[in-house]
Amino acid sequence: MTSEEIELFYKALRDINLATTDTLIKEYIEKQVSPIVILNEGMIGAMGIIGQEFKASKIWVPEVLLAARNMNKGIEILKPELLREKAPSKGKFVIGTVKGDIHDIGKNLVTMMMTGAGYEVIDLGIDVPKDRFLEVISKGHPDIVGLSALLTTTMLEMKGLVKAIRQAFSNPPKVIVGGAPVTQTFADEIQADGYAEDAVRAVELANRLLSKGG
Amino acid sequence: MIMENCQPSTPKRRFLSGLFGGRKGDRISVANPTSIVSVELMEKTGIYFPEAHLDPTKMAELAAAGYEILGFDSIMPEFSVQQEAEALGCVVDWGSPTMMPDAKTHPAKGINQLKIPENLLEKPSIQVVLRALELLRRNYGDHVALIGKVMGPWTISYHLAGVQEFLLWTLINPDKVRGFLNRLKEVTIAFAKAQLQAGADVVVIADHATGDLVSPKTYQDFLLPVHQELNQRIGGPTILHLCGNCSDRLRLFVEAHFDAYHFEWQVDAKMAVQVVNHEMSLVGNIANKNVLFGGTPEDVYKQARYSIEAGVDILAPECAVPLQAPIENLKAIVEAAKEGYVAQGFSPDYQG
Repeated sequence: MTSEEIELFYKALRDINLATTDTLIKEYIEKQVSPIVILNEGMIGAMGIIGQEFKASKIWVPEVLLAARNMNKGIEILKPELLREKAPSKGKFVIGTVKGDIHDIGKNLVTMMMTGAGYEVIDLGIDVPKDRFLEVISKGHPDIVGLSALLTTTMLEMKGLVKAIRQAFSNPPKVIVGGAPVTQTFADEIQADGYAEDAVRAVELANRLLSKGG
Repeated sequence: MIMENCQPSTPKRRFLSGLFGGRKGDRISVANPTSIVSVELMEKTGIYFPEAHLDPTKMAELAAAGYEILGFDSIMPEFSVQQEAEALGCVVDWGSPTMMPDAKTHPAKGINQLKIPENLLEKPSIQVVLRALELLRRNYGDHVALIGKVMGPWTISYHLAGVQEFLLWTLINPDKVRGFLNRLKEVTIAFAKAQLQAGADVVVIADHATGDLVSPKTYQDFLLPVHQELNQRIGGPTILHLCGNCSDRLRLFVEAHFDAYHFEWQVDAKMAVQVVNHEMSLVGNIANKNVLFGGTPEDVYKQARYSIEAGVDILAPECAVPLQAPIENLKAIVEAAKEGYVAQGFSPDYQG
């Protein structure tokens, strides 16, 4: 896709009218453009620009939420096409807010950005107990698990979780952590595989971890 | 006896002087526009969450620990941000000693679902704050600054509608956002006035259109006129609490006519003092995460001295302190202030 075309997708993601994304994608499907190209170059390309703008404080959370809403609509339209072509996912990512914590804005932003970046995301929601994480990991075999916490108290849950995941699996997924009280120092202390300050950096971290060949 | 260099140096006078940017006196005032309660303070007073959110005597006694034990110049009795939410119909989980309360339901998805009860001020979660302030006024009102706290209409909208929904509406349905703010500002005004009447010297208006979530333009378009109206109609002194990095919108808070702005460490104190230019007082801004919670008394001392030397009007933690913040870190704020305006240097064996 040309940069002008990616710009069209970018404008669609920024548009408050859902129909703009809908129309644009249908137009590309009709033009016989591969749904994988529409997703990877158009949608994910556009979401990448939005992520960078967010990181640079050119746009704020409402614009990201809007882009995510439009992106979800786009994926919904593309899904049947993608299933026919078997689009490769960049990796499987499981995420949840740890037990005792019901805050989810940060986690949801990470979910949106990871989906937008082409990962298959399983979002376990809030207040997720250890056993639920272990069960989903054993069934879903994710490449990366993301743990989120907003509170200094619930953040401490992460330590036990990192340990439990490593103990339960011979080939454990990478575990990354984030949330307002979490720091790189804390992540190192509990021996997580990585820490990201925000949703855009979480995608960069995931890309980095997986490109190292696990 | 005639004292040399007699200064207005009781907690209340120090605080009020700082609030209005007046005489500097012998040292900066230390206050807490948001909660400074910690698990250790609960242990020392024998009063714990969640009871302290719901019982006026317990609320007042636990809040007074900030003055009695830590040596702050102020007492601010409202620990949570959910008192209004419960009164307006949210189901609130009042938490535990290590967890702040949280709204579990967000019952209003449209303006017609916004129900402000006629007896709002009689609701238990509102009454508890008013009763606690009355108790504090009787016991401390002569010499300690009493700070009240209300949520602004933006924060109440988060609780009633859900944060993500509300933020998305700013783009796809701005009229709905304005409708929520216009309706809910009446809650803020009524509760603020009642707190001033109950004995608060000033009310903090916490309205979380934070620097990390929304743009300065969003604040300007939606909230600035509402905040101007709040300040006009409340009448008494107000402090704005609005977290995140708001370096790019400090002048807007001046335009909203708050007496003071309670700000975060992310906003550089020197820059803020310059930009605000004494047209509004600055209260802050010791970092919670890395310093009050994760740092040492020496780290606290360094940040406190930086803020004092930058010319901040009142020294304070940047936000409600983490419940596990060590007590010696909280005391270190007061110790740093006691040195006056010229630093003596950190002494590791100070009587914390």
